[in-house]
Amino acid sequence: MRLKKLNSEELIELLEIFFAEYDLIAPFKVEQGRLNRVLFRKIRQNNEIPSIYLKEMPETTPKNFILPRDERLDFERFNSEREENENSLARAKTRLFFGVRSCDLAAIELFDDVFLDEDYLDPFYESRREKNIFIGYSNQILPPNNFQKELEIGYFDHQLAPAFIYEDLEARGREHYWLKIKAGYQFSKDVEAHLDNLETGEIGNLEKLLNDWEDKFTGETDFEIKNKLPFPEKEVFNQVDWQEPTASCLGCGVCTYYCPTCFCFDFFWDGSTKNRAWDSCMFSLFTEHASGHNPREEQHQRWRQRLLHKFSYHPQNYNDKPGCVGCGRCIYKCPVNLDIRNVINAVDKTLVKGGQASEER
Amino acid sequence: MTNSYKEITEDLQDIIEQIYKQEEFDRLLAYGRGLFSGLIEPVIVDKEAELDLDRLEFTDEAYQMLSKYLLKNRELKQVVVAKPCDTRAIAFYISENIIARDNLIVVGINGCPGIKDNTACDECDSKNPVIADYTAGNLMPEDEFAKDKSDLKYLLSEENQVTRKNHYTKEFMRCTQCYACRDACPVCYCDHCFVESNQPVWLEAGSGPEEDMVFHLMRTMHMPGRCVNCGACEMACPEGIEMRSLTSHLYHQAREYFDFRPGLAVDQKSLFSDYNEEDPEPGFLQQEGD
Amino acid sequence: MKRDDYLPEEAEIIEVIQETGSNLNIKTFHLKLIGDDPVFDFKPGQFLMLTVHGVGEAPFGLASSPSNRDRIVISVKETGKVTAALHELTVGDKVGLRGPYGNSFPVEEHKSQEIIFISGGIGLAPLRSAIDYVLDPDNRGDYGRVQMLQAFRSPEDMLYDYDQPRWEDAENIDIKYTIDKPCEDWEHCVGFPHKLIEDEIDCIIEGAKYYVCGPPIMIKSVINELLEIGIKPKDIITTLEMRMSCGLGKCGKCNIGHRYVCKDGPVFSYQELLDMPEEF
Repeated sequence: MRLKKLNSEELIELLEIFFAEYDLIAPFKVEQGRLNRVLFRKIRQNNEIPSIYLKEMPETTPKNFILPRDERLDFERFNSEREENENSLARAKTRLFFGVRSCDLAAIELFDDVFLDEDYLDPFYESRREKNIFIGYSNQILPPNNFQKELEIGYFDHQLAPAFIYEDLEARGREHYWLKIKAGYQFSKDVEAHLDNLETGEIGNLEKLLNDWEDKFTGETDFEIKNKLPFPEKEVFNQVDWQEPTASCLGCGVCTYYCPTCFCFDFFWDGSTKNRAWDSCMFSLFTEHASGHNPREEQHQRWRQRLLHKFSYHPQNYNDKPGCVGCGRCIYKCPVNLDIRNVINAVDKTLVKGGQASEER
Repeated sequence: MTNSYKEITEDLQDIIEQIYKQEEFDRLLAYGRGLFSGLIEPVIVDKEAELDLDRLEFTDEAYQMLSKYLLKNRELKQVVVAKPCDTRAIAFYISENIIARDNLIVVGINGCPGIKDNTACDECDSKNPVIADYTAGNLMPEDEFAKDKSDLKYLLSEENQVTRKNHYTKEFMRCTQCYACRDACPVCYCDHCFVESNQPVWLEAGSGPEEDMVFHLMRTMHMPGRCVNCGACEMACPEGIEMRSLTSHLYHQAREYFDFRPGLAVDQKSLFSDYNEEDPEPGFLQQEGD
Repeated sequence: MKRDDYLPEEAEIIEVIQETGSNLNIKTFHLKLIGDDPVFDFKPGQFLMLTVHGVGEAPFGLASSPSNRDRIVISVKETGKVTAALHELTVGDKVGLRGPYGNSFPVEEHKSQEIIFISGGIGLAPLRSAIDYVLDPDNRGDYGRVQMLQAFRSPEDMLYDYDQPRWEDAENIDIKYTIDKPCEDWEHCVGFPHKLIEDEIDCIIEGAKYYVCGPPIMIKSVINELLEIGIKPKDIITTLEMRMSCGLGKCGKCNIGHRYVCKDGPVFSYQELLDMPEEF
């Protein structure tokens, strides 16, 4: 492991080198209507680099690039290139995602479980997933409504990121940014040469810093998941009152569109090309048969699906890993502030009550 | 001078306590603070369910339109906390026979101090409820909405067609087709929206600029005579699309040409079912120079 | 040849049979793969994804006998966009095919047993593949008596009139037909299938297997009746329909609990369904 200390100017210089070597994708703050948003964007020119905005958690995640909202499944191009090149739809350049939160990296790992499955490897996903480097990011601000800690996703590292950058928002100068590069990982030659010139940091100092941040985060929220995952599907499906905690849902699907882990999709045709687009379990049409029969007629049934997919079905299918990374986006993007933690809480309470009842017996 | 949110909150808590004691009802729709998020959220509870009255609040973040939720359970007797714009939606429902007056206990908010970031509040023309059984806060004088429409630059009425088309094409590029604008809108209540129709298909799957334009324009076309100019559509949009410029444009047009504003009274005729020989005939049918 | 992709293969319609009158409008399509390898291997109970070019894709249960590998048969009721477009097509038109997907009827496990097929309307289509398998001269000796209770809305809605004589003539078989309401010249049973099971089917056979397929409401009531008369949940086999996009357990639509109908189904025993949330 190598640890480097950087100031703001040095970070910009480093990003300029990244930009020369890679397709650089990073978060920017933009004003859209009444919203001030932080969105990942591909950088086109050097002079955009100083505007990269890291402080707040971005609304979008690398999901938008790896499993885009709308993609053309170009089989011809795909098959011909696959024959020529084992690397399939090889991009000329590697993509470098800069400033990715640990929860969003966990979400990509979850996608990998689903789409790079040995049962069926999704070739379109695979081709977009290749040649990506993720550089993680963390600072001392807990993102709003974040509960990744409850899902045992650490804030300060993730195995998908060969390097992580830590920003101490209170420090100045070279103590401002810390760049951790994992053992055995090598960037391209030019980047490495540049890194060599940077001052090495004391690992002890960083550890102390991260411990302070961790302490600060602890106790900031009252939320906890009392029961072990996966939730028992049949019990929870039938016994929980799903209507009360989800009564305010409008059924718009925003929670799923901005969720870094939601991957449900639909195919559709545009003339003779087949496309794939995101779909959402919050929509009535998601499960409606052509005959009009719908196994999930009511919004609270759709909510039950969404919650249980994440906290029961997905963990059952994928080694107990939850289908949620606790980023909190579904909560603050929801047009009515419906909080998934209230629904988890309802499940928890029901299970706790049920457990007590059976003990008494 | 306006009411303070704190005063309104205190009034609301008292009124709702009183309603629990003396009224028969099935369900309460109010605002409260989220247990974990701390954000203002709709509180929708059956009468029998436990409710901590202190949880109920009214703040400048109470942007959700509780009137919309009345539609989900029209057969129940519901108590609803209603901003003046909500009361207009409610009056509209009653005028359209969508919901029975007897099934409602409306707790109106007098002299609404407005909602943060909601641009519709800047041009609000109903500061007091049009229909209420109980009211919180003090009545405030209705400052007549006297703004010159040309002040409302966002309406783009002075711009030419090309500029307008370019503007909206760009704006709608961000549309994710979540239809949250429709879902949040209190007067979007068709049983079967054209968006979900698959026979015939009005809207092709996918997210091209044409589909986005079709959706927003078709929704706009359904709005004149219904839109109460509450701003819920924009408040709900996760992409910050300013679609209110379309619906508000028609709202102001209807007011200007026909002196019509939806939801002012429970026995109001609808814009399209009321006709007067002297009505002006604006619009595309009128050729320039006519 | 790759048959596990999102990419459909080209197939040609080689025969179209109008099965029922205009009120239900069911057509049977015979298809043939066009590529270098026209052989389509599948097991009874599996399904395919069919693409009507430019319109869309939908799942259809395979209705053909698995021993006839170069003719793919599906029966299609016109209900939505894709089926309406498919009904417009005729011999010589091309469609896209992916599959086969899903598990299959446990016909191998059920060797030496009696088998009872209970169908409602187009639910006979997926069963046809199992029926033809069991009645295939090569396999007939492996199974005991076969009984069938086929329910249709009316005589005009009966399917496979060209198969029925062949099935009726098979060895050791007993077939009953029923329609919803009485009508002239109808010499068979009348009434919903769940009401007829006790009287019309010889049920008290140890180890007999019940294959039930039809609309969700019919499946539910038939299963309830079977349980009522003491049939064990593990002996009741059904195939479920769900809206699905990929057929591979990825798109996230057809799950019931943690299981995907496209991958872990569409065939389930009632014993399995009991462990799953009731959401179909």
